[in-house]
Amino acid sequence: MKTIIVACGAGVATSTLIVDRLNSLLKNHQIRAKIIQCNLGEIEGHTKYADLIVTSMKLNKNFEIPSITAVSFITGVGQEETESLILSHLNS
Amino acid sequence: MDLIVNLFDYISNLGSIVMIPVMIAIVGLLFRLSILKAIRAGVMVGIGFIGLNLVLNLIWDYIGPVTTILIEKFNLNLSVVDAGWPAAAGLAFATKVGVVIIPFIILVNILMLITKQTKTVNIDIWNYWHFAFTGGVIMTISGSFWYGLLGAAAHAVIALKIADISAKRVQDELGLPGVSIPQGFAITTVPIYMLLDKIYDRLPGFKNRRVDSEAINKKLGIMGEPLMIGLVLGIIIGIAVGYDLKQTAELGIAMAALMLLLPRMVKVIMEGLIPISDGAKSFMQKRFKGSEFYIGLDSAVLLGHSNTITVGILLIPVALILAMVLPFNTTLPFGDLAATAFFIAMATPIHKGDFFRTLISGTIVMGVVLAFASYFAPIITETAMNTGFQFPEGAAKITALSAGNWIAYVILMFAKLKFIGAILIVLLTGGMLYFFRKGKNLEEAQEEAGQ
Repeated sequence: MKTIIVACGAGVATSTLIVDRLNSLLKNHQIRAKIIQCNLGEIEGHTKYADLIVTSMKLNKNFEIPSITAVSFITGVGQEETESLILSHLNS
Repeated sequence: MDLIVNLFDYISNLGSIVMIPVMIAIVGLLFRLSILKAIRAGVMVGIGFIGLNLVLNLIWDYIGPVTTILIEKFNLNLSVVDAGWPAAAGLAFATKVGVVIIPFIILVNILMLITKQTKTVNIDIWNYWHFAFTGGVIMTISGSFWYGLLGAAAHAVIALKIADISAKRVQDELGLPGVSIPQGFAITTVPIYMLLDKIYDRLPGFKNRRVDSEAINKKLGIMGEPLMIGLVLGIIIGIAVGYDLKQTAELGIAMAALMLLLPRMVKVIMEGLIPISDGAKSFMQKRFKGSEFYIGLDSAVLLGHSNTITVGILLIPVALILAMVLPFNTTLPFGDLAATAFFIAMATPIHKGDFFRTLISGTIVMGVVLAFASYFAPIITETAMNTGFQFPEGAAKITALSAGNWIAYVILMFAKLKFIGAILIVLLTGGMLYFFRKGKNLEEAQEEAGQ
């Protein structure tokens, strides 16, 4: 089972929305994954046992695991591309 | 019409624990949720408020006594506890203005879009709490729901306009076309940062200085965690006020708990609002889409920049020192110390990622924020009491740095003048729309201001 970190500015508002979207995406594709919701500063503490980072903003920092910006989950523009990108990471 | 007013009065007098779920469910129905989903959303939001109330007790049990010692022993006039934005947001949504804020601000936004006064479609429903806050405090002071609504509308109109003006810089920064930031606090910092940027341009030693904020960031890494901020701060304050080991450790854990639990409770509120937010979003986006519109987002999308993160962490000690030395301040910064990056979200794009400019600007804004957060403290506390939050006898007053909103203050000052003030609010917001007509962007506006 893969572990996904979902992070936004405060780990409260935007990330809740992304988690909601992510959960329905996972459900639709019958993928089981663990989701950790946190704020930006907390990402580092979780990367050791996670496979993917999904954030609401562009990260200037490099982590040892891949990260995806999911602004499209909020704006709705380009949401399908982001979804297939996430799926390809989870299936690899 | 009378029936509707009476019904509304009846519901709003039920007490927030019943009133909020009922009102949220009604708003849900308005956005075409099924009855069950609407009820679920309402109850979920209500649960979040109960959780918020429970967690706020940590403040009064552990941090309140500290403020008393700070006042008595150290002569520091820090009688107000900064409960942080989660508390302010929860409280704002719980006011009478707050429960109708979502459909109301959407209405204001749509009117602005139709009359071509803005390009921003504000889908950042959660941050409507800033407008609800302005409306809520006005209602507490003036006693009038309608002045409260007017104030909230004025704040929202100003926010949309500033979002348009700063859109280009934000888009360049994010590399994302077609977005803007109409967040109710972030927009109050835009004029300040724009003005300061102009001043820095004329000062020697401020030209194109670059610092590798990434390196500083690495060293500060773990300190950005709210839990650690709470723990360390609790221990430092415990030692400073002369607590023994047990009390110091207790304070540390309690403050860490507050930092972790408060946002969790607000998360429940947010989860309840998701279906309504979705409904509102698709309602707006169906009608206003295409390249001539900006999608209004939370300033949180800007926080990924390492300059913002680094300066954000440095602002924690800055805020504490300012709180002690500024004579007009009565706020003990705490809850929003976990969210200091939000205060400079707009500084990084306006100062084009310059570390020193951002740090100095951030310090100045922190001073401004402390002044207004202190001013609002008694009003926020009274609003909280009116809204049904239970305050223990003699409890410390609460505020939030994120409520240190000078635009809310200006609107409140006008609203105090009652009818004449209402006219002035309309005239001034209208004047602003006129001045920035035809979607002038930041650069043009700066040029004009500079002349």
